[in-house]
Amino acid sequence: MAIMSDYKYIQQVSVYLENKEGTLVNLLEIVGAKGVNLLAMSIADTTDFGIARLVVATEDQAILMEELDAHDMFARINDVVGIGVEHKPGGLAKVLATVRGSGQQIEYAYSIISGSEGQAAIVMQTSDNEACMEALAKAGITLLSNDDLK
Amino acid sequence: MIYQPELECMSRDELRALQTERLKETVRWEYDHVALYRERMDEAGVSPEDIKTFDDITKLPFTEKEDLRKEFPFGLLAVPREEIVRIQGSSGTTGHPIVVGYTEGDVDVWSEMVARAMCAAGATKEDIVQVAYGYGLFTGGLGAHQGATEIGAMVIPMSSGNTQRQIMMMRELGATMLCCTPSYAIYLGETAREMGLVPGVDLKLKSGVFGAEPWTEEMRAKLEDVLGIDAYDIYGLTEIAGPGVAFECPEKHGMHVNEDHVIIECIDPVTGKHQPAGTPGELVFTTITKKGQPAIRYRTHDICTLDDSPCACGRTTVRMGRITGRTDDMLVIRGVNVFPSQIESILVGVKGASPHYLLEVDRINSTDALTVKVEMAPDMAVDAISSIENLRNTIADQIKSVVGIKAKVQLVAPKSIARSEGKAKRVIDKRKL
Repeated sequence: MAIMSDYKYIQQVSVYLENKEGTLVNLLEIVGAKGVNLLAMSIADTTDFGIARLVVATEDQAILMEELDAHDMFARINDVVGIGVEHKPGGLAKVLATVRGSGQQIEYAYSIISGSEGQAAIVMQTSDNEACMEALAKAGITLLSNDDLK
Repeated sequence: MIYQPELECMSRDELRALQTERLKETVRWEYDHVALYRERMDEAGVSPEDIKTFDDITKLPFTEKEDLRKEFPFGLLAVPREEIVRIQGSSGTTGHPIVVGYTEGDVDVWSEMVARAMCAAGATKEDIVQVAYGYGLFTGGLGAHQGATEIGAMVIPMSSGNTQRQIMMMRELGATMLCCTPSYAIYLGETAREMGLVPGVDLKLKSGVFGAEPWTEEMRAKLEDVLGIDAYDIYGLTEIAGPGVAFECPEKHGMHVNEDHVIIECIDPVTGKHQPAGTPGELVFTTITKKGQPAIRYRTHDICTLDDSPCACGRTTVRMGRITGRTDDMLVIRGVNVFPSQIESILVGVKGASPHYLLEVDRINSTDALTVKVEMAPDMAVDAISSIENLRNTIADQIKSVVGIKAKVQLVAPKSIARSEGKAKRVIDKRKL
């Protein structure tokens, strides 16, 4: 789902994990061995399989994809919404109200390990990312790209 | 066009009556002239007099390719050797060759069957038919040659290979029809285009009859496009006659079996019992007009589905679908016959899946459990649980409805299922039976 957007957005690497012992550790070791730092991560799991969603610096993406492919791990890059959130009670709720107001559904969301200064940050996938970002931008909410994360 | 409407369009009752008469004669002929058949029938406690109705065919023992190997070269002849005017055969992918002897009458029967196929594809006396099947022991070349000759068309007997020269002759002589394997036809078309020739302008081909290897609708579309022709499928096997045992009509919806010359049965490969129409099973053929080396209940090990519904073309003969697999690949799971090819045909139609799969069967608490590992397509989105679960459920639902059993579907990464040279390993059976 490439966005071709005027707005800033985040690229995430999603890795399909078969339900076998040690797959997650293997994945993280592969990432670490190449000196790639994780800026954000989320694990979704079911009884049969899991998904690891990773956000890394733009310059690390190609290295990571190549390395995952070399280890026969199935990974895809897709575009998601990145938002800066005030780091205080109710900060996220305020943002999500805007999303709801735009009529979009959130499919999944997770927080970014290190946001930009003074802010927390989250990543989310919605039913229509472009429409969602338009609404967020209009509401004056900060949109983020990989390069905004340190 | 229908070559012999009086034989190809007779009522099912008339056809059954004709087949029954011819079956009785053939069984008597074989019993009297071929030791192997006589011994087999005696063992089974069945005599030629026991064959009174069409359904009595099920009393007869089966024959196998192994019988042709053992009796090589002349052990199955039902006539003196000097009555045989032709030998055709196959090297056999499994080693020992097999040969089949034809009397003059048998060659005529075969030619008639191919002529019907050619006629269905539009051949007339006006046509120029290029035969690019190999000529030799292999039945493709001579089979197509005889069929076209029977119709009175002009044959260009090119045999296979020498592609540039094929195209030159095709162009210079103005060939209107082509007979070869579908893959070679595509190659001929691609080469002609590379040479700068435009089908329809530089080439006069209008149709072709293609067989001797399994092909798909996708291949048909490609072949028809690259050569600008109508492409028809033809089926046959040396043990029965050669190409022409069954052929497509312009409806292109299954191949009409030449039932006045052969009896086709579709059986459960395990029980040997007839499958209901529309259920895949193993094809079994009996020749009913051959004299030199007839075959009774010859097991092809080809898996296929028969369709006896009326065809819009007017022919009344039963139609066979494409060969979808071999019985050697068949699994019996909870009493249901499962062909890997059924799984494959499902996967081809599901977006997000690829046709690379592995069937794992195990017996857990004395119940068979089938796990189907399926590679996801390389463009499958894997960021959301729901899209992956939807894909998995779609595949499981289709397996349940097409194959009739519940399977656990496990999605795996693209390229993670081992590819082997040649035949892919599709099945791991862990049951200790």
